[in-house]
Amino acid sequence: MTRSVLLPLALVACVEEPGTWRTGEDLRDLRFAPYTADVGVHPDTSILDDPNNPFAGVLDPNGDLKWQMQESGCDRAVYAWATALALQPTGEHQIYTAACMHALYDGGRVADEDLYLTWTLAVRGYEQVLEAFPDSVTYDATGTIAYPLAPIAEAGLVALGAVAAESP
Amino acid sequence: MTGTRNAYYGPNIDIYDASVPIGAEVEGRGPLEGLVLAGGPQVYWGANPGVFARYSWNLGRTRWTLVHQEDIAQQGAAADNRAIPQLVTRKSALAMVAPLGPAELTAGGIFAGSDRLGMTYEELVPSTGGPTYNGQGFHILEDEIRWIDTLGGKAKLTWEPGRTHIYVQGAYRGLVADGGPDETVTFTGWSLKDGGQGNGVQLLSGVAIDVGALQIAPNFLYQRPFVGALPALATAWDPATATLYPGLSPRNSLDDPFAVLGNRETVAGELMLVWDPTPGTWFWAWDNALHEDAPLAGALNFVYRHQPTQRDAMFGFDEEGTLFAFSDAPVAADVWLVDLLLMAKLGPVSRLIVGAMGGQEQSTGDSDRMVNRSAVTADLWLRDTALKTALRWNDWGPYDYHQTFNLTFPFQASADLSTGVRGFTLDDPGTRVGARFKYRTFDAFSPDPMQTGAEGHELELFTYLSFRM
Repeated sequence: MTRSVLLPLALVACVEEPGTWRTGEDLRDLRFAPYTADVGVHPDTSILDDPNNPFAGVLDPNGDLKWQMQESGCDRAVYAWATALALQPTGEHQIYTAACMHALYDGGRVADEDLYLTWTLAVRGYEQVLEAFPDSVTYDATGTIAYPLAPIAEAGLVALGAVAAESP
Repeated sequence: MTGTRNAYYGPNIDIYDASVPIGAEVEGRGPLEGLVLAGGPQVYWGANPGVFARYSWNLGRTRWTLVHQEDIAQQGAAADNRAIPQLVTRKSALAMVAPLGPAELTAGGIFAGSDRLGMTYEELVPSTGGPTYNGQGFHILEDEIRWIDTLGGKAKLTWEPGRTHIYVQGAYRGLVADGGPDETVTFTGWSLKDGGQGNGVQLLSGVAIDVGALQIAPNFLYQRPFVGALPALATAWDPATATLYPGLSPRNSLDDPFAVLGNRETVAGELMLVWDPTPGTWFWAWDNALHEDAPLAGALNFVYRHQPTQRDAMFGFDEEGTLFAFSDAPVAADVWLVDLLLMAKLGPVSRLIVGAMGGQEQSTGDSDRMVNRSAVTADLWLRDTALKTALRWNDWGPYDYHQTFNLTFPFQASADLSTGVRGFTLDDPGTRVGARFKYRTFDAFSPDPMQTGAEGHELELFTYLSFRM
């Protein structure tokens, strides 16, 4: 016990390093790299452990930040939507996550070795909308007019070539 | 340096269906005189499983005491004992009591929270110019707990010339140098006390003057944390620079190495008036209601706290009994309270105890709504018959969660008439038969499962027969 009192007294005589000032995080160069083979597909939550995810621990799934990210492009928005999905599983969070992966695949915005996995995650995300959130809707900018998500997910699967389009 | 704790919980263990504190204490004799060891799975309500050791010895005219606490594990689920869990900790303190002329000096040092070394925390630092965090006028410093943050010191000088009693106490505590609450009664029942939390400096001083059976006792407190509370700050996005500014949440005492709670910045004063014509039965003894032998004794206290900054987050239990930390805290606000307690001995087992209070206080959750509440209570015991009454205006309900979620009732009234085999006691009065009346009104701030509208009232009448096994 005597040591427990004297030891810190000796140590505090040393010069302490100051802390660091937090600055904003520059996300201009952020690119999506799948952290796991299930990331962004309900019920996976591995996005919360992804060290490249700038939204883990800071995103409120009910806040406006995810919409701001959506406007800024899917390179960043995919992380925001996947984080919101992990925190609050809804059809809306799932379809925006899948749609972003779809856009990243179409635009070739991921590394070549991640292209197929990104396509797979987009397909599985759309499928989860149909299976886990079949009655979910999203709203227009006024927040009053609802659109069902299932047709959008089906169209996404067709566009990705995961299923054939139905004949008219 | 480490505080004393009141281990009398009254009926609360049963009310909250909490796990009963369990521990054992061994006191040394002969060559081990002065050594006390204690330990157990829950030595006091909410304590982590741990061991305590205390050794006291005399050195010349001084008396020294060394205390060590070693938590072994964290207490189990909060729902089991209805107590907020505490981080596992380790603390040691050395104290000395010495006569100093006509006064007495108590001084000591503490080393606590070494288990939190390296834990990180954020601090809001006001800007003195230049660019700031997202242009909001402040900087955010990210730092970690260091050795210096585990150290603290405290000194208390008491002096009792004639019928005057004076004390001055000062403390310096590093960010995690928590000593624990100190419920020591210094001279009189002042409510401004040392909370024992780390992180800050504190000055307490009071005078109690005896004028016949009347005691006049002003008391003063100043305290300020080294690192203030964190406000809730939403994460922000600057599209022009594609920069994300992560937000902040108030700290809490489980997820962070420390939180600013009772040690929030405060300047406070209180005036205590005590009427105690029979000081042989000290008015402030924990069981004085049982022993007070004055025909009438009482205390009137007024406390005002100026709190210029807010605190960090506290905890609540949701409907499933799951513990959670609030994501915000009430705004900075001054609070005050007037409190009256009167006791009259009407016979060996007959008492009249009257209480009254009024004040402006804050929720223990995150509500900003200030509550201006008042109440009058009276308990009359005539041998084995008791009448307990209470009237409350704009007050919280009877349970902790009412204050946590800031749930108030415009008016509450209750009366309980009972008789049994025993007269006045502090706790279980034994086998009794009685009738109880309860009435309360509701408004938009009340929890009301019975009413469909925002306002209403509720009346409850029942009789009971309780057995003591």
